[in-house]
Amino acid sequence: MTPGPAWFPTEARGDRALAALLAMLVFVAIVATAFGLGVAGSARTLDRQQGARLTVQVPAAVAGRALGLLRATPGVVRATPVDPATLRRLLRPWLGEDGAGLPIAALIPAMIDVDLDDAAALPAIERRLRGAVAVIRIDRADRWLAPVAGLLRRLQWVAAALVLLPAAAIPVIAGRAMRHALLRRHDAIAVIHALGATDRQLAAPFRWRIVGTVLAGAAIGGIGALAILVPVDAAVATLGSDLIAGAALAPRDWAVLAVLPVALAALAIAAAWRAVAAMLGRLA
Amino acid sequence: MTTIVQFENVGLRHATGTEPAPGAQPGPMSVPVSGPVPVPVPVPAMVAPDDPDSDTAPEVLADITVSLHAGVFYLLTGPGGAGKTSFLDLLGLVRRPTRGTLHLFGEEVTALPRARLPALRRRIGMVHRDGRLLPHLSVAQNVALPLRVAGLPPDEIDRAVAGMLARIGMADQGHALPATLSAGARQQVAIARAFVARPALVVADEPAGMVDPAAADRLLVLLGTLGDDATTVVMATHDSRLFTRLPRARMLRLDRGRLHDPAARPPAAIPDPAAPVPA
Repeated sequence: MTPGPAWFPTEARGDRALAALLAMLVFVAIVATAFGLGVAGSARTLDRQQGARLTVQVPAAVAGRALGLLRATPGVVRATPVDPATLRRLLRPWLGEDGAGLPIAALIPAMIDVDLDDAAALPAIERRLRGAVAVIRIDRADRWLAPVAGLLRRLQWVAAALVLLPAAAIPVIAGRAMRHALLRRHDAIAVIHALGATDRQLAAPFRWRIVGTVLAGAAIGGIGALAILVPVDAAVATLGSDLIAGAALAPRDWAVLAVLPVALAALAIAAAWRAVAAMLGRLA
Repeated sequence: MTTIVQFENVGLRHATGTEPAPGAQPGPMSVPVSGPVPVPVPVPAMVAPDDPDSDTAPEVLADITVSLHAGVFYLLTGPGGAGKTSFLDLLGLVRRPTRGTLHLFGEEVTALPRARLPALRRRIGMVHRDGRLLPHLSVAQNVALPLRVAGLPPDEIDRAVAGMLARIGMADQGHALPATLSAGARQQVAIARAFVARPALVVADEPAGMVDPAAADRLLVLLGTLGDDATTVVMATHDSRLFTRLPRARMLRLDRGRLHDPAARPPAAIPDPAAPVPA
């Protein structure tokens, strides 16, 4: 005689279904988190690179003076005139090949690209330039990139919602699964309760079983998500675009992604354990 | 004679699903025991004492005042719906009184904290009409359940279970699953499970209600012989003729939730195991 078999028959199919569902939700949560982190990285890159960048347009006659003034201004990291060849290349779609011989410098203002060490210094620099050069136009890069920045912010909210939905669903599903597991075994629980079993004794098999199921689901979902994210991240990092390359995940981002399935599993286990205690209190 | 149970003006309100109304048909819930043909019987819901339904429901037991003594075999009789199962539910701590006081083994249980109930329940063996064996466990594993719950070491459990199976004549059927047994054999196992932990009180709810007369006689003998001199047995039956076959048993008669003639016969010892059950 073996005195210690399980008090309740196991339902492997139900456990597998729950693990698969949790795996899918964990997968979605991790991918959404990675997407959100990547978008946040791009937004940071945009802010860093474009927020303190501007283009100054001045008449060619005063270009040299403006350039000297800029280079002498504190807060200006770099001031570089856009060379005529670059201007011709930029204008080629409008002027065509026939425009190659046009006197570009006489037709359009001179342009100077300026990088600041801090975007906050821009108003003071703008005042100084306007005081020294009568005709001037200053294009701040962050203004024409504002729609892009707005889009990135919206994408971060979308990612947050995609993370929150499975994060909210996982404990609900685990708790309800546990309630149903207990209800299905109500008769056996009543028998064992009547024999003098404590709630702790009765809860133990349910609690440890859900731990196994949840951890399996979290592991499968986590590994699946990482299997997709690692090559995608590697591809993103190799792209030439600063904006897209900014979406590449940093080590801190990978740490967040590694912790996420553990946190979601802990959430599910806590909800399931709480459901066990509540249900046993109701059943006897 | 030691009093182990004391009811004083106990009332119990009806809770939905705990007991069928007089004349009601069995409910749809299937029995937890398995067998060749599953038999639908109403399974009592275990209801907490603060069940809100209890505030307005009618009383299924009213003004019960009686003492039960150690070592006495009680026959609890009454027509269907009289409150026998509810009375046994109180004894088995499945439910608790909604008024009055109930002392079990010296403890007033009406307001006893939940956490203290398991220790009391371990001193009580229960036999249900349908056995309530766990279908996925073998005969021996079912009998071992109270000992596992009590946390006994495995070798001690093995010894006690083997001894109990030998006493009920099922030593060679320890590995059988309940579904492979006859209804009578399943009830024997249920009775063995009720007695294996040597409880002070055994509560049996029509244990022979679903078996043939020969098996019923066998079950009656087991109930009278498996305990020791101090074991109290309370057996519910709607068959008051059993009273004539257990001459030393004491009758408790319930009718419409009230106990009648609680002193119809003075307390007596459990029937002599050597005495044959009258035909």
